[in-house]
Amino acid sequence: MIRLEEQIQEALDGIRAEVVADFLALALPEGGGQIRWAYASGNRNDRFKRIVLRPGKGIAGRVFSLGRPVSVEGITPRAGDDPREYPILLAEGLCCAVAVPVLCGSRVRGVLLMASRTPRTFSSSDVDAAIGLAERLGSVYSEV
Amino acid sequence: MGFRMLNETARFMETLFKNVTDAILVVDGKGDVIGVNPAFERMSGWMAEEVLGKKSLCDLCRGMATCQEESSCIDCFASRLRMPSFQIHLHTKSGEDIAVAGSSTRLPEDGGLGALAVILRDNSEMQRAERERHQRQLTNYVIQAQEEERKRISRDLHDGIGQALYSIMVGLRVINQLDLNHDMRQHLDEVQQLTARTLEEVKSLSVELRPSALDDLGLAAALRSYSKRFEQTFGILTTFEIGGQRRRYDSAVETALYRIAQEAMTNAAKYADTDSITLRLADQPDGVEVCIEDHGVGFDPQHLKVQGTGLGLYGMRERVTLLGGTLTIEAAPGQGTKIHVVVPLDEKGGPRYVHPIADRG
Ligand SMILES: Nc1ncnc2c1ncn2[C@@H]1O[C@H](COP(=O)(O)OP(=O)(O)OP(=O)(O)O)[C@@H](O)[C@H]1O
Ligand SMILES: [Mg+2]
Repeated sequence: MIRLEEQIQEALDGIRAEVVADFLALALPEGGGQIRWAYASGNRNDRFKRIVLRPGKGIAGRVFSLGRPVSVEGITPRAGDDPREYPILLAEGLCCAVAVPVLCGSRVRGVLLMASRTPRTFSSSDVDAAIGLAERLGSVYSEV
Repeated sequence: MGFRMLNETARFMETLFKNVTDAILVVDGKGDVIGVNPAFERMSGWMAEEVLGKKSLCDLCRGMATCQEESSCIDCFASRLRMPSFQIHLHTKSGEDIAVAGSSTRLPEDGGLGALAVILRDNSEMQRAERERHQRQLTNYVIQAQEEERKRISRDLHDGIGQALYSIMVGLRVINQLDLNHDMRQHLDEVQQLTARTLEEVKSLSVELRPSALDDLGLAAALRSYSKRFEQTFGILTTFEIGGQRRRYDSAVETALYRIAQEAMTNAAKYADTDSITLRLADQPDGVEVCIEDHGVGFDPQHLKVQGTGLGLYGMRERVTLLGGTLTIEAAPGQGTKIHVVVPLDEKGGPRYVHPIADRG
């Protein structure tokens, strides 16, 4: 199991280097059913570890309940908006993100987030790299 | 009326004319100014020599304010024998048009139009106070209406949809005990999980709208669970401290303090870029204090008015004012932010200096 954790971490670091993204993270349900950011690459503090995701809420939460990618750009806190929509972006000072589901069959097993601290539109090859990793993770998790 | 003024009386009348605080303006039958007193000079900025015989009423009066119109000459007071109360816009020497209250009387004269005496009084201070009171009343009404609405929807979600989902879950569990084939069991498991998750979501929505703990268990309990949810939502380490006695406060006090803490913490999550936050609730014999402190980027509270930002801080202030309390912001760029609220209370946990309109809900 230790091996698997190391492999996942390496895979995240690898993709981050490949697409030159600031931040990558993977959210997974824990034993108790709580969904948390279990892995991160490029984080600037440990706030992400304490975040509990809610299906349907926020960017990652929406990927969980919809089962399809969600992307956002130019997110900065503004008067009138609700920060519960983008907690991971606030924690890491990110403004642009693409989140893709990790699927086992039709079931969403996790969410992979790729994000930038400076304005950026992720190209389709960047997104493909993330989807590729999500697919690999999906097949790993259907074996477990 | 046919009485002749004695010399003393004439002097007395003159003293009166000179010293009354109301401004007096007299115009002749054609509308030309023939008399003003010092109070008028102070109010308008025009000196007597600048207006006597040189200006007419219409140079100085920019119309009456009626309930339909800001400025109107319809039904002008000068066309009436007397008008006991109206409002006009007086054109001052500095070029401003100020709203003043007036009354006018046409003095009797044989054969022809007599002089018109207009008495003016600057009510703007009173009007400002009145407007402020009105605005506060409106704010209070909006705050209460919003809270009632949230309470109702929160309860409907919890007791209505939540209860129904719970019954569905119990029903599914019963079915799951039946003899089912593998495929059916798998489908059922999924539906059960989905139902459980939906129930959780409904409960969270209900709590987020308005926690029932606020009514059932009190402010301390509600803030404690809010802190926990806050930490889990944003990953910001949240410390909740309680000082002094544990007691219940007036529901208006508990609701206001809860909403203030919520708004201050939401601001910290949005803007402070902080790792940790401290929420303190301190009970005192004669009041209650709430303090929200973060060690994030801070801001310059003085600079806010220029920027013209959101409604959060404004709403916090309004809520505190309605309870007769005070709110202080200690913040500076790079120094973090501390919001401190004090509400003086009576022995029963009600606000001691209730704003006169706060209970006129
Ligand atoms: N804890 C804090 N740390 C840093 N800046 C803050 C903090 N609290 C408030 N501010 C600053 O004060 C401003 C005003 O806050 P306020 O709550 O009134 O408005 P808002 O949060 O932008 O909008 P709204 O509350 O209406 O959604 C914010 O825009 C922010 O710049
Ligand atoms: Mg705010």
